[in-house]
Amino acid sequence: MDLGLTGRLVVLAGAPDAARDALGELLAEEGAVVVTSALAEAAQCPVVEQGAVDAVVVVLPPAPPDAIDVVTEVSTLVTAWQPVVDTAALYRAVVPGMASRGRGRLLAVLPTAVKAAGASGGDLDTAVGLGVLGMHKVVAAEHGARGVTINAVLRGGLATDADVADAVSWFVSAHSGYVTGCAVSVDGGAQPSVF
Amino acid sequence: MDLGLSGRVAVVSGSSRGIGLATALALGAEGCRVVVVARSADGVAQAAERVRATGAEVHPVVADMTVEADVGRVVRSATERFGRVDIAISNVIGHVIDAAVEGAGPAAGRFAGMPATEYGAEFSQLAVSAWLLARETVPLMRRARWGRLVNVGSGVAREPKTDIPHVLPNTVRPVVAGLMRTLAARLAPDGVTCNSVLTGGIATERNTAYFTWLAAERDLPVAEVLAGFTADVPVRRMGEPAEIASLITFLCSARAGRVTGQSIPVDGGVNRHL
Repeated sequence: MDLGLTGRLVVLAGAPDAARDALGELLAEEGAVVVTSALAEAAQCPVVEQGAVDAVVVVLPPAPPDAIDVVTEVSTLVTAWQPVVDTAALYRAVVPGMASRGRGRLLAVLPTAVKAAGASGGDLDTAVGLGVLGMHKVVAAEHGARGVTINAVLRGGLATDADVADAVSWFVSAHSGYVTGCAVSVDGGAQPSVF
Repeated sequence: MDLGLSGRVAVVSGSSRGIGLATALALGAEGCRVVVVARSADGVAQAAERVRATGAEVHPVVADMTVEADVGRVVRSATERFGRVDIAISNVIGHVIDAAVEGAGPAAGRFAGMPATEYGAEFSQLAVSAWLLARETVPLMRRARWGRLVNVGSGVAREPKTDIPHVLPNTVRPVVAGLMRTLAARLAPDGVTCNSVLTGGIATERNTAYFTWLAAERDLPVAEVLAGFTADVPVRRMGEPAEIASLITFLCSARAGRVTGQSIPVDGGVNRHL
């Protein structure tokens, strides 16, 4: 399947790890021009400032793993939340360019703990990830009419980096234009709830 | 129905008016000893009088429940006065970026125009404050092997409202519901339940102020904006603060010990999720 990614500029934001590498390699194989960045600096990337970004993929870092009832410091919560602030800054920086061209793809990779508390992630992953999905719904509503879609891939179960990269590549492809505001689990069926 | 609340000690944040006051009154009427907390000294004094009129013992405290030191002070003074805290209601409104523009809030704005730093401010306002009240009260509840945490949340936690400029609550309200859900899982073995009530379209002073603001924003009469809103509510009317307070009171009761980790809308049927 041709994903329609040839020549598309994709900013891949997240920690420099095997998951990010797998995403970058697959997107590049599909013809995309991939620029990687740490999440905190991504909004200030030169390509972002030039306004030519076609797609953004954010791999949210894991929140501190503490159970919520043993967290004692406000700073633990604030630290866990900071990647969402950075993600908002990055989305906001790229959306005007995407909207003006009538096409854009935003995607976040989160743990499935977002949909099932305690599954594949910590308590703070659940809380923080829900904020990302709430924000996604707003971006979907505000910018859907101008061809900008925004979705999340929820990683869980025994999903490999390749499993995640496969799903992400479809969501950033030219084929996913009618899917927005959505969160899809890639977890081998581990999520216990129906919805 | 006897709810088994006689003698329980309840800290109710934001209880000088609206949903918080209705909750303090309802818990007082069921025999709780009530810690009335709000930022305004006059508001606290007046609310305390009304709650006393239910026959309840009342401990009034002036505090800002988004301030870490204040939350600790409230819980310490409640413990000094009553010897325990059994029930903690977190009830804090979203932050206001510019009162001159937004009136009573919540912070208004669309994603496209919202500076990223405001997401941090809203997180501190709504999520950190709810967690702080839990941090201060949970050790007392665990020791007693009984406790009730309820957050006064918003329907946007489950179904973000995108027809109004509401990006900050849409982003952070789900976070608060998630925090409450994970707390529920951790505290259940100790007899402490933790739930969220998701409000929608409740006729409070603040909500009226919000609709007045929204009408000005849209250059429409307030009545027209309100009519448009209620037309989308299956029960075709705004809710009353007492209707929220009633569910909170049930969730706090002895009868609701097996209800935990839930996010329950009281919104006239607005929320469309399954």
